[in-house]
Amino acid sequence: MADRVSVRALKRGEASEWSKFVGDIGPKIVGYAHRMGSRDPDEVMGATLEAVARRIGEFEGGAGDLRSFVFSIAHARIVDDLRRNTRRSEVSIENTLDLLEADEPNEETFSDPDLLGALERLPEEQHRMLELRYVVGLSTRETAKAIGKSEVATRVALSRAFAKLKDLLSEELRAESSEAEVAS
Amino acid sequence: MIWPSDRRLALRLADLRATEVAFDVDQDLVARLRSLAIASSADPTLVKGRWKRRVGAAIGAVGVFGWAGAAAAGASVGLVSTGSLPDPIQNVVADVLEVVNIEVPRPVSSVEIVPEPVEEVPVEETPPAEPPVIEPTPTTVIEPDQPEEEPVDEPVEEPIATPTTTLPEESDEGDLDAEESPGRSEEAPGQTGATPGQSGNTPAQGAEPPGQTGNTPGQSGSAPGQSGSAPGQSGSNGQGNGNSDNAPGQSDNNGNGNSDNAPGQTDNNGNGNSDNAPGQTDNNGNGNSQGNPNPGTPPEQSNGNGNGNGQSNSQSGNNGNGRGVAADEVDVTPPEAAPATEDTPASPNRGNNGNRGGQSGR
Repeated sequence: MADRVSVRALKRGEASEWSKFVGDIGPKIVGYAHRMGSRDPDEVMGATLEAVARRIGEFEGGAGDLRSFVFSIAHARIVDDLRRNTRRSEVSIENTLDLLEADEPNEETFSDPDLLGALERLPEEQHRMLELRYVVGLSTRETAKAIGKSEVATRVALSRAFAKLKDLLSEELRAESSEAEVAS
Repeated sequence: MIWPSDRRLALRLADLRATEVAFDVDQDLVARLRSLAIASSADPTLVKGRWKRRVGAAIGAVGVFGWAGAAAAGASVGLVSTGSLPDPIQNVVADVLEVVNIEVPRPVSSVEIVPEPVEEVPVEETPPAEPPVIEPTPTTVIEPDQPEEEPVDEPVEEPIATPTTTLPEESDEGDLDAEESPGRSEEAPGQTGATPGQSGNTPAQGAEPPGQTGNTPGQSGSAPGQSGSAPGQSGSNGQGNGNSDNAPGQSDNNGNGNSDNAPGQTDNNGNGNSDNAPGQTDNNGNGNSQGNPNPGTPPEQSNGNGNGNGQSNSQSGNNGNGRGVAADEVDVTPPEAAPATEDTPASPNRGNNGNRGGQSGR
């Protein structure tokens, strides 16, 4: 876990601490980027870790603060990646095959297609907060730091996002049940 | 219909982590991240530590006693400027600071009361005392027909006027012994050097000019002695020196007179030398006169030089070679001293006679 990572050891550049940190936070960044719609999660992960290493000297705080710091950077990288892919999709023709392959659905990602569909229908900020709070596993305070809001505002926004997600899932259930009744 | 509860929804969201697959950590990536972390964390730490050390060193250099002293000084200045100190201390501090032109308030009791001005009583004025009458001092007078400037190194054959002066009655150093002044003649021991500038012969003021052949020995030396006498008259320093190496029973007279006058006065040097061969009388007379009319002025203003030198192979040969260089001396010499020149009218002739002797003093 990232809690066991020593920020001081990371600042000193200890190899073991950096290996543990990359092994712990790397998959989370990849999954987060993947769920947020990034088309190259590995690139986002590499760029995020590099940015963290460049700014680790200025960082002050504990392991929880470090996770917030990492995902705030990851979000910025995801946004950049999405913008870049949008421009590339409009202009470039050479990478058409890659884009088509990237658009192919991932089996693991669509293990809960109803939930993922509901998340994608949420606004981007609520989707992001739910991802960080419930999928990545950050605390409310860490989530607030990652998105740059106060803890109270984040808590309110999370409850609204959670209610919105339930409504979306209920609507889907109602739609499915009505379809089933019609079919029967 | 089963509605999803909040807990179940949260678990469903957490199950999405299953999509996160652990991957093997790339060591190259780790090494790159390490180097970046070291580079980023090194500079801020050093800079902060450096500033902290500098500030600490600056504060520590003053020290506890230094800061305490500075605080005490500041408080004292404040108290003094407001006059809040006790009267004696305030008075002392005011006296001290007054030295450096810093005015601080003095205690009220120590303020000086300026008395009212008192009417002055008229006092009779006494007439100023008359200045003392200073008698003019006879100085060397140079004849106006002398050439004003002549280079020193000119040949002797040119007519040169020797500045003539009157002999002083006493000289400062004229009473030198024979041992001290080798110019004293054995024949006339008391005369040589008795007066500054007089040569060994007494007839320094004789009618015959020095340098004339066949004259009595010592005549040629007498002229330099005359020139040496002028400093004595002008109250300056005079030296008389006479040298004579005489063969037994003969008369060799050397006379040397030097005088250094005070600035603005005439300086005359007289010198007489004689080397006589056995059975002969050779008299050499040399007179130098230098005068500086003004103190601190360059020497070109007035220089008089007289030189008499004579040798003769005859029995009584006196060769006098007189040479005078006078520059601007007319202005120096007051006209009252003109009679002194008249005593020795043969001064230019001395040079002529010396030329005849064929020996140049220079």
